[in-house]
Amino acid sequence: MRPFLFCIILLFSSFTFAQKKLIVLGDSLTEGYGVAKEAAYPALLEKKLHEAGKKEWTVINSGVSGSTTASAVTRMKWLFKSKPDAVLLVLGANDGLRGLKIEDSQKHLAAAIEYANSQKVRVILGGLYMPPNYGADYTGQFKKMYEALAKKYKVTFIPFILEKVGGNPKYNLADGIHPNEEGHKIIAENIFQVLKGAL
Amino acid sequence: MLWRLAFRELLRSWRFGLFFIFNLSLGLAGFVSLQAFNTALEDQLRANAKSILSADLAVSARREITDEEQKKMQAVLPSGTDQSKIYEFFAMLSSAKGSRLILIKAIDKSYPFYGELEMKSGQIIRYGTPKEILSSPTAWIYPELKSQLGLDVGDEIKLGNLKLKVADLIEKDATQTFRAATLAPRVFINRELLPQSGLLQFGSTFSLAYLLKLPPGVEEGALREKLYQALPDPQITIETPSSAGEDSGRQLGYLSDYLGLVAIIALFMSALGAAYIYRLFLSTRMKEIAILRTLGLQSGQAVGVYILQASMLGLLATVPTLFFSYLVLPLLSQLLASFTPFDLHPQVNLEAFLVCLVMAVFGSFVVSLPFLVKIFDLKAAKLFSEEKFSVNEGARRWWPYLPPLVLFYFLSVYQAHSWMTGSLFVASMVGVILMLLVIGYFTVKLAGVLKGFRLWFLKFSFLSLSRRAGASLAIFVALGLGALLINILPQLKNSLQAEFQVEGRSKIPSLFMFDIQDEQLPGVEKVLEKNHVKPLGLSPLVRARILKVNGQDYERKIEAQGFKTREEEREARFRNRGVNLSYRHDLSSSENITEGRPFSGEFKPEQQKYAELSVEYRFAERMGFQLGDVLVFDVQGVEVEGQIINLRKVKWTSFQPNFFILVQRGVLDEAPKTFIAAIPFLPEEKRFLLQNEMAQEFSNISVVDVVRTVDEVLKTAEKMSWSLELMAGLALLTGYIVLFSIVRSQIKLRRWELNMLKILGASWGEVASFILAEFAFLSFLAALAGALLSVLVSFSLNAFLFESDFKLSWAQPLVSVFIITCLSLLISFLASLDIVKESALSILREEK
Repeated sequence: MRPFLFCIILLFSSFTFAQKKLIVLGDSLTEGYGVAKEAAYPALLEKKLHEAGKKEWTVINSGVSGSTTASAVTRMKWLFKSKPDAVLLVLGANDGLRGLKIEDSQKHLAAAIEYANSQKVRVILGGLYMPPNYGADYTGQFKKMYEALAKKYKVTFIPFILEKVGGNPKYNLADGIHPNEEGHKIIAENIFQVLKGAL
Repeated sequence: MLWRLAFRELLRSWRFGLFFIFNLSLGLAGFVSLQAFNTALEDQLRANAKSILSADLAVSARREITDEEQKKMQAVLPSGTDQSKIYEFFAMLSSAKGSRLILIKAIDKSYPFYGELEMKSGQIIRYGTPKEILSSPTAWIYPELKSQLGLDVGDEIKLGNLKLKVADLIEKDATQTFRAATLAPRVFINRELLPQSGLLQFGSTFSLAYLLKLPPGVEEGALREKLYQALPDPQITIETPSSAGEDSGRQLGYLSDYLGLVAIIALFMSALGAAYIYRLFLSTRMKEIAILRTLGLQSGQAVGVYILQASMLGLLATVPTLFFSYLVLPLLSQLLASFTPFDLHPQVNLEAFLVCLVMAVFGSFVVSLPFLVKIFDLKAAKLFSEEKFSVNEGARRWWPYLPPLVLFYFLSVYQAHSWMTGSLFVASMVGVILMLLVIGYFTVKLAGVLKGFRLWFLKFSFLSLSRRAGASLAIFVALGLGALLINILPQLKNSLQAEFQVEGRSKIPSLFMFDIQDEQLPGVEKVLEKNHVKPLGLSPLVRARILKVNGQDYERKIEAQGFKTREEEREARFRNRGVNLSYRHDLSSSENITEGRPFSGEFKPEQQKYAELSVEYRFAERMGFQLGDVLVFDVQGVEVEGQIINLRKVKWTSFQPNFFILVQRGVLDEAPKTFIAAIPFLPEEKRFLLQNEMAQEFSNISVVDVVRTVDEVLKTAEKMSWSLELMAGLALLTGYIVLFSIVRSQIKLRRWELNMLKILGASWGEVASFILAEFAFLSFLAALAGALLSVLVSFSLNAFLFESDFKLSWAQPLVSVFIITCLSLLISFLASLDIVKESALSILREEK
């Protein structure tokens, strides 16, 4: 048995004792680039859910820095071996920052939602905005991409998970892109506000 | 009275004075020339670094600098500081020919303070050049936009609400570095047009930089500290050219340390020459001092007379030194320009001149203090003895060695601009001199016991060596030290040059492809195969976080009161950033293990408790990792344990994708990952075709063209390599000149003795053989000892200062032993010829 497989089976089998599992599939925003793992929003969200009485939920951080929407389906195939109940899809920031074609990103996200649906895993879509310096055309289309996907697939939708955080130096690291500890708290709250009734 | 006495005596022995000045100025000229080349090289490296930053200092942030911060910044800046404000940010460019991501650089009229932009039209944009983009609604674009979108001069582009015409294409941008080779080509626009573009508003991500050109004489490092105090927010970064962190930064540091060593070695060389000649001067004056003392002169006054004399001669020696340097340096730099990539203009600067003056006027007698104090032991009775006076008589004192040690310690630190280099060098020199003294002592003793020579002059030669043990030991140490100093730089050069060597253009990437998904790999390989391209490397990349090291938490959590210092925060952010892991069977050709063992092969779960890890040694140093440490990773929700089995060094000139941590195969193979591909050198057209094909087939895969930036880095590497070669060569030349003057002085000391042999009826052949045998024995053994010790010293300096692999070469030290021996023999031979030609009486008169 290869160790990675061995560990993952051990870990995943231990999850079966927990009642419900939410995987956060994202990029560096989710990974918590620059902050400790416990300070990243998936860990904070789990805490909030538990405080709100939803103690059956375990939140798994599956953030990979630099990842694009193209990685979504492959990663889901791997992660879904642990039989999660829901997946919070927060991908697309790197597609936008790298100026990738919006139709391609949309195609990848659509494929991911369809795959999750086929696996009977509930999808929550986390929307993102592109910074205004990418121009009104591109940022407008980018925003619409999430709205269109949410509408088409009728998934639970958080329009902008970085609400109050994006663009505010107070809640971001020196790179101006990645949230700091305070920023992650707000993101966790933004998501919690939607999920507390939905989960 | 002392002045008059000193002056009168100098006039009387003017021939000796000239000899002293000539020899001393030879050594000093070597020092000044080396120093001038050193400074010129350092200036050029600094200018390169400044052109990358385009400023002396840059205050930057990923946000606007507030009015209050601006006030604080202005209060700290010295008056006369020029400022330029620039913005950099990603944006989408649209045009009739298509759209793509670009990096906007919005500049003003002061940009760039340093460095230049070479335009396709042939125009060179420097500080103060009128810029078309500032006077009309135009932009400059990188040539990639021509190849990728077909944009050219005169085409219209749209950036937000802004419509601009392309005025020119930027062929070469001195501010672009390998690291800054980003996903997007740059477009330069007028900063004042930004509000019109509508691109910068709340939520925009940009980088703002205040570029500063400081008035002359302002120390950048000190000002940086003041600015950091005035602007404590960690979001503000203040960079100097040296802190700008170019990829070759570590190697630039090595070069700078090497140049520091060159400066110290030049100093030691000239001091060695000066001390030796001064010692000769004293030994020839002992008789006069004895006479003066019988006439009532106090010892202190006698010392004063000779200090004054030596200082006057030293002062005079600086005149030919400067004359020689001014004459030879331009010729030498012209010669070098014809076969090296340099356009250096070495000049004697004030600093070098002052050090030269200190060396000439004070240095020589401070170094000779141990000999000078012998005057106190001088007995007038000696005047009536038949023996020749020697400086090696009287009580042994240790304190006179202290002032030269202190002087050289501080001068070394000053020359190297580093406490560590200076201290290390002086310590190794003290050690080496002690070793040379021991070896020399046994050599001289050996000369005394060598028997069975049939020829009388051979027997006499070896006996004479052991009888004048003090003088023989002095020349042994001087020649040995000279041989040692000569060999250090070439030895270190060999080791350091390996750092700059490039494996050949075909092994250096021209394109990098990243974000290749697992399932895209076969498709990518097919496209490459179709284009007859074999990737240089295809590295899997697995993201992970380090959770624990030897059971201790690795990540840094923020305390309730926040981070205490900027450094603490930076360290925490670095640790919490996560790591890219990769795996492969073996290390690449650009890596080598510095500690530990190679991977044992595929992971065997039934036999191994931990996966094997290979860690880049500098990363290990920064993180405090040691061989045998156990690390726990969080690989996207799964914990993996590994143990460090080796530390490895990565060669930067390979430009291959390298990773801080490599994991043994069979551990992460099934983890979610992406791939990075490095594509070898391809002709321009083929590169563009491949880029376009990849973009069409795999929209998420980004392809970065690094040809231009790699070329620039390679040029820098070549220059660095030449710098090492040049300075090692110059040091060799200087060293031989100093040794020439030492041997010449020594021979002069023996004129009286050789003359006596002549008077006693020895033939010229016998006189020559006598001195040649003595010098052949002494110079060969001294040079051999020095050269062998140089290997030891170079090895230690390399280990402590440069941490590069030591490349031992026997040819260089052995050739130097041969040259030094031949040089000594040639000078001895010429001196014996002189003695035969000269009248015996005149030599007797001159010497006695």
